[in-house]
Amino acid sequence: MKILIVDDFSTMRRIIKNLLRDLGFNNTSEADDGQTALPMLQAGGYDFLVTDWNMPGMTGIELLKAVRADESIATLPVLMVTAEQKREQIVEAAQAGVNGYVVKPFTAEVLKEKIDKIFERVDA
Amino acid sequence: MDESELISESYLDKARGIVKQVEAGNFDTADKLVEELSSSRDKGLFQELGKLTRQFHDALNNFRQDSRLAEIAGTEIPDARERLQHVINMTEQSAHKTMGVIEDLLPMCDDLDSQGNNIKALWQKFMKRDMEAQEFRDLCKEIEAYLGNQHGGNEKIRNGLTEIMMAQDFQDITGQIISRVITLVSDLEVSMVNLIREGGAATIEEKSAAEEDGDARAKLDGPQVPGIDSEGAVSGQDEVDDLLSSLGF
Repeated sequence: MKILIVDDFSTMRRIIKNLLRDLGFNNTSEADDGQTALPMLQAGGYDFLVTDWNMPGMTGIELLKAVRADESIATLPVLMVTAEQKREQIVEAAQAGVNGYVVKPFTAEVLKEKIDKIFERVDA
Repeated sequence: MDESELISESYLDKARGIVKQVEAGNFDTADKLVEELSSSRDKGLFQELGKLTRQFHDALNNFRQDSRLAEIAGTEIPDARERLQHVINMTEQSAHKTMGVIEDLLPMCDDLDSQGNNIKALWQKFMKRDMEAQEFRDLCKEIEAYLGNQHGGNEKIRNGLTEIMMAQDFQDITGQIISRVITLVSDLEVSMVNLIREGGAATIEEKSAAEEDGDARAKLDGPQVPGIDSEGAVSGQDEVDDLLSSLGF
């Protein structure tokens, strides 16, 4: 299971990376915005994307839309981990095809719960 | 010929006139010319004062009309104050959480350490075959207790380390809040510079930093701050989950 973590703050990337390692996911890579992440995803090999929303260059929602629009990676499960918590934004992310939405600050349990839920659905 | 040259010309004329009249012995006429000279100086002063008053008045009017500046002063500065206060609260919470975990774990580490040292000393005695049967039974009990404590302790340390790691999540949120305040300060700077230029009768249009940063990011709301901008926002993960499940998630 190879996971890409996208966030412009390196501290948040480290936190997510460590939490994922605790959950048994050791194979992670990092990118600091959508523009860097998209070519990495398109190059293939990723099974899961965890992305922030508010980033310079290309935002998380733009990245999500770009992923869904690209046939080769359109079915990639995407978890959004973000400080954005306006209802319309959550609805927008849902409509764009997000698989899970975690608001910051979050706990290790919440992240685990959402990831488990996403893979339950993917495997079903 | 500009105004100041005209004034100095007329001063010179009058001064020459005064000298001429004094030399000729016409003191009355000289007196009159002196008076004229001083009144023309007053007139110049009043003109300058009038100009300054006009500029000040225009600047004040522009200040009132500059809605960006009014917006910054009226809402955004108080808003920024609350946001920065929130940054202080978050960093303080994080520091306390981190230190709390450390204060809980350190005594436990010390206990485990002294228990281990105790066992080590007894073990060395055992290896030298310098031990009574009862003493050996005590050692076995102590080792068993130690292994139990050690296992539980490791788990506590692990959880504590995860807690310390999670306490660092403030940096992402405070970073976003501070970036917004920096944008506000540069907006304020641009507005103040414009105001000063307008006061100097040269209006120069400049885009605010937020306008220049015209990408999708500038339009985002960013982290929620308790007490402000809660309109249309959910209050936590539970509400996010409710909203998503209402959308069929």
